[in-house]
Amino acid sequence: MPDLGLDVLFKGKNFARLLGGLGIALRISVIAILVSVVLGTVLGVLRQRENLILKAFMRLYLEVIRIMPQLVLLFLVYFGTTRSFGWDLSGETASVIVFSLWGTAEMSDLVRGALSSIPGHQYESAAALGLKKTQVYLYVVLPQAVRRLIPLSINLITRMIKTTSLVLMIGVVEILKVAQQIIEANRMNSPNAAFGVYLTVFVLYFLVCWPISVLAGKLEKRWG
Amino acid sequence: MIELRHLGKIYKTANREIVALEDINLSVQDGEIFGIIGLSGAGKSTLVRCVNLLEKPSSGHVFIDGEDITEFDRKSLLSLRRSIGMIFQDFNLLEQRSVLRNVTFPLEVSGVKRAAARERAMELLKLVGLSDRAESFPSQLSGGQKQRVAIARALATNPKYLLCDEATSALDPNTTRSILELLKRINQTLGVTIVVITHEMKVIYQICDRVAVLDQSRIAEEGKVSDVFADPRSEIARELILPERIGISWQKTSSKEQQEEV
Repeated sequence: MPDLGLDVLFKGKNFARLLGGLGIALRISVIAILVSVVLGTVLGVLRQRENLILKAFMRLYLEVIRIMPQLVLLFLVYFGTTRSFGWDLSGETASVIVFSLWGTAEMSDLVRGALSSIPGHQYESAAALGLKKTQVYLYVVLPQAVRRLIPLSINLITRMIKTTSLVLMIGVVEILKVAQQIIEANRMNSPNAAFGVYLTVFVLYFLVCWPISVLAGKLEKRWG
Repeated sequence: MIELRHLGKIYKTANREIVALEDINLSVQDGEIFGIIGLSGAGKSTLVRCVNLLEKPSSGHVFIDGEDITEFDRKSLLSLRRSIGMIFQDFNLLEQRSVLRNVTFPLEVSGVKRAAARERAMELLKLVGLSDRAESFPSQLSGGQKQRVAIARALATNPKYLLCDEATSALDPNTTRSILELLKRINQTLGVTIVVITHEMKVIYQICDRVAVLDQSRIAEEGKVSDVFADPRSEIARELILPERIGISWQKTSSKEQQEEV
């Protein structure tokens, strides 16, 4: 059997360090996801309004964030703001800001899409039953919109978690960076470590994202 | 009694105005089944939506039991809507709720106790012939069954009026017939006044007492179904009725022929 270099994991605190790195990646993504879901929902609902200025602004925001690679956004917020505005952001703060901006933009678009996919006659028949506007949203529109939203937002959430691997480029020591450090440190005595360590990283990412997909599947089934 | 007086509706778009209804005068008597027929775009859906003010008329008045509802505030309007049931072409059931909970829904929202709402819903499901499907979900039902649930839901709050907007247009002929029979029974046993919107003359022919023919935003003709059917005066009524009359007589002869063959 080829040497997969898995032994490196059991040297010293290597495995614990990897988990610590994963923790940092998750901390960034969880905060960003929470912010995105809340702000994205609010903005998504606001985009339903017939306000031209608001619409134009939201459109611009969404397009800019979408067109820009996440890495460029990270560089812009981390390095750019330091020179231009004199902000001393930590790598992690910069990451949270970028991921929240990105997540909010994408989420608002998903919410807008889900809301506008509810046909007009649903609003109408709810009103015909004598429901107030808030009741129409609460009992009729939102439950249906949420159901359509779940698969899409789960996709966004796992994408956000995976994309946090980019933050090592602005010096945040998350799981991938820790993995690189471990591999580098053992280059001489365990040259095959790259495979074993990256494999472990893969498995850890999988263990985080997979339950989310399973949960989403369950929710979809229950409400479908 | 539902009375429409000089009712008009104009939709304003960015660069032009679209007249949907023009000087509509109608009265629907208590206890009757009143049909409104017209081609697509004639304004019939807009017209029926003006009766419970889902659409706000641009001019004219709507009187329900003598009260001008165009002057109602929001609160009285909500309670008025509970006394006017409405069913639609696409049923509009809540997919995530069971049949029973779809029917109890308007009751729950208006604050009726759960047990009482349940009891009322079971009564209605029995009326529409779906007692055994109470725990099913809409996705497990056929189109006709869905419309029956929608009818039960519309009747939950004990409305005096029932508005049917193309209620049978998505159903096949047999299902259409059974839904129409149900509506007729509801009209006769519960005394609910029914307004039927349709583009199919046979719907009018099968259940309505009186009919108004709508053409290009105006009422072209109005009267007892038998009179209008026997002697359509307007161009549009002839257009809608004659092929149907031929169809019905053809059906009669063909069924006779079948019998003879047997």
